[in-house]
Amino acid sequence: MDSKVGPPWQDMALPKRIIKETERLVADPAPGITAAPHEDNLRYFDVTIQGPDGSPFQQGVFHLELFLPEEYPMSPPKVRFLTKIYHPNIDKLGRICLDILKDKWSPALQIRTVLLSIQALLSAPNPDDPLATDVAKHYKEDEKDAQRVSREWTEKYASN
Amino acid sequence: MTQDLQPRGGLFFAGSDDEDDDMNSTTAQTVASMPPTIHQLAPPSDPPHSPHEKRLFFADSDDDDIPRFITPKPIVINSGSVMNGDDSESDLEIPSFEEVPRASSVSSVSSGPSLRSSSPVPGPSCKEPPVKKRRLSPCSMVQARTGQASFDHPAYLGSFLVGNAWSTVRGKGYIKPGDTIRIERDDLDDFKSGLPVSGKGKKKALPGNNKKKQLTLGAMLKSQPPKTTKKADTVVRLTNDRGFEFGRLPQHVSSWISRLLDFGIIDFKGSTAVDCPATLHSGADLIVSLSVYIRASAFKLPSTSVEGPPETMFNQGQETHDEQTLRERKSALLSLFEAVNLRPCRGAHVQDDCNMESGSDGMNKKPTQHPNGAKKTKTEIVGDGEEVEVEEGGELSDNELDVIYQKAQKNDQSMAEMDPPDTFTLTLRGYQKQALMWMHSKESGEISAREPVSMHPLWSEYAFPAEPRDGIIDLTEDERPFYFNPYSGELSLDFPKAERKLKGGILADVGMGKTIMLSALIHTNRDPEPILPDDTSRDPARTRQLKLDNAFRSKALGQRKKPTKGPSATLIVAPTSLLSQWHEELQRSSAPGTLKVTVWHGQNRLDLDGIEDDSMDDASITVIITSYGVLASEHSKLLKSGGQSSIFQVEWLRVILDEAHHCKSRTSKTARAVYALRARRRWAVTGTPIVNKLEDLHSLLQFLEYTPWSSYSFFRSFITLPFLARDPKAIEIVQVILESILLRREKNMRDNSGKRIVELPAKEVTVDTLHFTPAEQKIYDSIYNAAKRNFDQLNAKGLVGKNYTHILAMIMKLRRAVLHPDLVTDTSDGIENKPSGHSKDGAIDVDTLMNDISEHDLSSGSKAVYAESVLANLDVSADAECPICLDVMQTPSIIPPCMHQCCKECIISYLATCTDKGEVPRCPTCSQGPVKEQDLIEILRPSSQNSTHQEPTGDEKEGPSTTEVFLRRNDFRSSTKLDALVLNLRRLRDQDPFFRAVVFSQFTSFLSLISVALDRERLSWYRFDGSMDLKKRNAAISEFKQNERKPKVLIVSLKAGGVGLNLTSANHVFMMDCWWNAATESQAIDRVHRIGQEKTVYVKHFIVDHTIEGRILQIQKRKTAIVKEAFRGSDKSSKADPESLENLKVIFGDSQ
Repeated sequence: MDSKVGPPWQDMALPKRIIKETERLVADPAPGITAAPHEDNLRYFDVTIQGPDGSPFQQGVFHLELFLPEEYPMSPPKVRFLTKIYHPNIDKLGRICLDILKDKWSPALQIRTVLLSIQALLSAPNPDDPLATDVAKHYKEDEKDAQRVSREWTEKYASN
Repeated sequence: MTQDLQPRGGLFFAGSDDEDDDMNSTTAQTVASMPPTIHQLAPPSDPPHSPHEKRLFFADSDDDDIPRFITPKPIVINSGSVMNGDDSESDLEIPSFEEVPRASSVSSVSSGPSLRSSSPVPGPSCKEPPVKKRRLSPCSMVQARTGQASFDHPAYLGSFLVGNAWSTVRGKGYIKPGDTIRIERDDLDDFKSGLPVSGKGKKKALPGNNKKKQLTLGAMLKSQPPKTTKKADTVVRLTNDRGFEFGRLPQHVSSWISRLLDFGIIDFKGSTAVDCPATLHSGADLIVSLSVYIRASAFKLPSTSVEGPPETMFNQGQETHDEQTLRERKSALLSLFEAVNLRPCRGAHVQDDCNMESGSDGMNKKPTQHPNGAKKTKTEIVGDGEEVEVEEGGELSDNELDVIYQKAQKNDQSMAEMDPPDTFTLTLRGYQKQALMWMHSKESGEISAREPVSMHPLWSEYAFPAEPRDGIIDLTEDERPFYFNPYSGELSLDFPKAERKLKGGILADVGMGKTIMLSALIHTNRDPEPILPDDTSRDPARTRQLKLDNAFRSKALGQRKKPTKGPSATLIVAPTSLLSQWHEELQRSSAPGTLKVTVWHGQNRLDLDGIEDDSMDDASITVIITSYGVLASEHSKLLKSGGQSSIFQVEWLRVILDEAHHCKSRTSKTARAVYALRARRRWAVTGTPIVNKLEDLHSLLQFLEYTPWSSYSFFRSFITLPFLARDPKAIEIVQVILESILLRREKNMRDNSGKRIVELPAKEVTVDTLHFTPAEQKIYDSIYNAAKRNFDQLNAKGLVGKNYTHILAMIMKLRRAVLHPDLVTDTSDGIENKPSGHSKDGAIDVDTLMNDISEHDLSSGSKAVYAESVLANLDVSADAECPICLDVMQTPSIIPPCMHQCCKECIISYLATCTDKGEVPRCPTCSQGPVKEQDLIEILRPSSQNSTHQEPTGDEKEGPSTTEVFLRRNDFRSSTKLDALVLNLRRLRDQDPFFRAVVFSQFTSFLSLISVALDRERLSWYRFDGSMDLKKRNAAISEFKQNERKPKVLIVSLKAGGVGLNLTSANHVFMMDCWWNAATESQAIDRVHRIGQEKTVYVKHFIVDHTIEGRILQIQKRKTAIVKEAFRGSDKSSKADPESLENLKVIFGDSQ
């Protein structure tokens, strides 16, 4: 009867789950996070994350892009920092090293939880599992200095 | 002939070189050919100016001086009984003059009673010398038609000029223009006695043999060898009024005139010489005008010829002497009609019906395609015996079928009604009473509910032309028609009605309660028929037909004691699946004790011999119900040497074939068994008398003994072959046949007042378009791609036609793949779709689950707490959201042991994704793993509405004990279609806790899966398919129908249960798959949407999008009859026709 709306895993129409997530992101945004889909591609989101208080990224507003692949939610979304950031788990290209975006992904996770995880990653850099090895080395050898650079970058690139 | 040219003075017959008895025979000859002379001898009782007098046979005043040597005593018509008294040898039948003319002819017979009482009998039909009679005998051998209309003197047929008659004499004074001439034949008995006639005397076609005549169809069907008559004597002599021969008719005319004179069909009166030389010489051209009168005896001809057709089945190839005679007669008549320009005004050979009002002879000359242009009958359209087996009949399109039935339905609205007797306990609807009336009249043969107005399709109507009297045609004279059968040569004055005397017919109502109507008929016409004095007095054709079958019966019959009364029992033959339904319906419609119904089926069948006697004892009517299968096996038992079968020994009052199209193939065992039944009344009941081909109808007609169409060769010649030749006549003939024996109403027909004759509740049909799960899609795609590759390769090589069967098998696989992956794959991947170990609904109780949790010894206590709380709150968390699709869970599943929940579809899909990626499947919420599909536990929550309905007092809060929630192991793999069905049934149960639904599928293997799915839903289901024996089927139906306070589902195989069953207790229908032919589907739906249904019927088709099913629907819409044929079965033929190839391309085409 309602042949137009396909089941969530079909690519032709936007799955109900994505619509629902989008609505919720708009209606009830997580603190310090915004996410809005592109009008011409509802699977592509512009995301901003405020640097968490007490972290070197405090006061910064970081832009990210988030894309939901066809397989979503069976596959994780693809997320990347657009704003330059000095962080041991985020490389020059903005790629993020986070387990839930890789092998620990579960369809029970959502855009919101992913973004909250990234926000948490800003508070707690993990140089033991680095993506940007030079930054990780810097953090390991001289954390204070590394945090200073992070703050500089935040001021330089992430402060509107 | 040429030797006889010189006249012989003093002899009446100049050319006769015969022996001395020719005086006698000449007299006869003269009498025969010159009835006017007799009239001249008429007694004075004929007032010359009687106001009623029709001067039909006062030809010309020239007759006045007819010689007196002919002196037969004038015979008054009423003395008909005297007429053949003097010649026992003669079997010439004179029309019974006393007989009141029949309604059909009375108005048009021009001779009023006054004339008949006063005028003399014309010569030929009264006293005649024996020789003469013998000569006439070919035409009189055969029994007269019953109900012969009065016709007591030759009637004018027309005149024509013969321009090249020639003189045989030399000299003056024989004849002059304007003189009356007579036309004479030599007496045939001279030839018969072996005396040579003028050197040519080999007369082949001696019509006079007093042999038993049997006109067989073969004679009519055979095209005439044109040479036959050439060698026969055809001399027709012209004599002057003194009896001297002066000339002869030319060969091309005499060839047929001689026949007509010999057969006693015509006379010539008032014929004149138009022009001739003053002095004759041998061979001089004479122009003569011949006036033709048709004699009464002509109308008594071979009337039985079409009544005994079965003979033709056996000796079609040969033409007997008698047949030849008849053929000659026929062609001679056709030549005559041609010569006098007499054309049929309606009937055979007339394209359009024309009205009878056309006044004069000239106006009757409608443009027709007269088959016999010349004197040779080469134009018989029917061809000879060889063609008969040429090819199969063509298929009929739906449109053609409509046209065929149209005529039979024309007058149905206005039929009279009839009430059944008290012993019939149900109330009939109006149209059912009409059917009862119709059937009753068909059986009693007295009143005709539907007055037949059609002429027999093989006959043509001619009008007697008005006779010119002194050159003036009296236009005021009444038209009188006569009838001619150009195929057999029969002539008749009676209107040849298309209706025959069979008792019975075809009841072809569609979904109108046929069973009930027939039950009413059984109650209404219950009196036994009288015993016939002897078996052979039954329809002779029938006896002959049964000869082989009965080879052993006569002995058996002889041993049986004579029944004390005539047949009174009714035999009903029905498909096995309908036996018990018949039984129930008959019981339901009868007052207790009035009907004794026995189902004659299974191993211990009783001997039926005694049924007639048994039924005598009480007032009840005996009805035996049996199946086609039993009948066929009994029949083969009978055919075996020494075998006996009581069902064929009993003479039934009535035999009813239900779903009679089961024996549409006349050569099948079933059909032959059915033909062998002995019955007085025969009914064929079927919604599809013509399934695909016109020939389907033949088998029914053969069962009904509806002569002549019951003869296969006859049917083939007059219907099948013309139809294949695109002759519209074929359809017309079928229409006429059906009009007289078929009753067909449809549900949407309206009665006289414009109301629908059947008021059925509405039917709502919806199509539910579904989508595969990814796993299903993958399986389907791989099968489809393989099939398509295969097809493309074959198509490229042009080998599709040869591998048609193979392709059909591939398509079959695709169709199964749409239903359920298990129907095309091995179920060796862990999930067995058979309930094993567990209870059949896969139920599992919470306590067991709790134990499982503690056994797992979960690392974190909080998790165990969570799990316990989940189980404790199963009944309240009814609208929980699935973490994967973020929707309310339709079919929540628990992932043990953590007890997190997801939609069943979502979690199964996720587990499959993980497996594909080579990852360990884990709980999406807590990542605990591994999780196996079959470990999942479904939570089933019957609707809250339902429980509140059931427990109006259930407002106590501590009610988890009363919760309806139960848990079920996921040990059954479902499919998109099954899920859709289950979902629909759940919704249905929410709305109507006692719903009744019928589920159709073509695949019994899918029916099995459905039954498992229903078990898991704890729905009561009943199954009906072809593999079940009768007892089980009956049990399934009756249990399904039983009134219980619970929902019930009947799962039916489309093939076994698509027809006949009455399932009106249900009002929901689910079609799980689609069939090539939409009609089959709608017939299945009509099991529910039919008489007796009181609720709206909801029909739901499940179609999976972007699969072969869409293509099938596409083909369904093309509505080609060929499709049916092409896909009906791979067993029939592995050849494909172009249409089927097109359809395959639709299936494998790229347009998605």
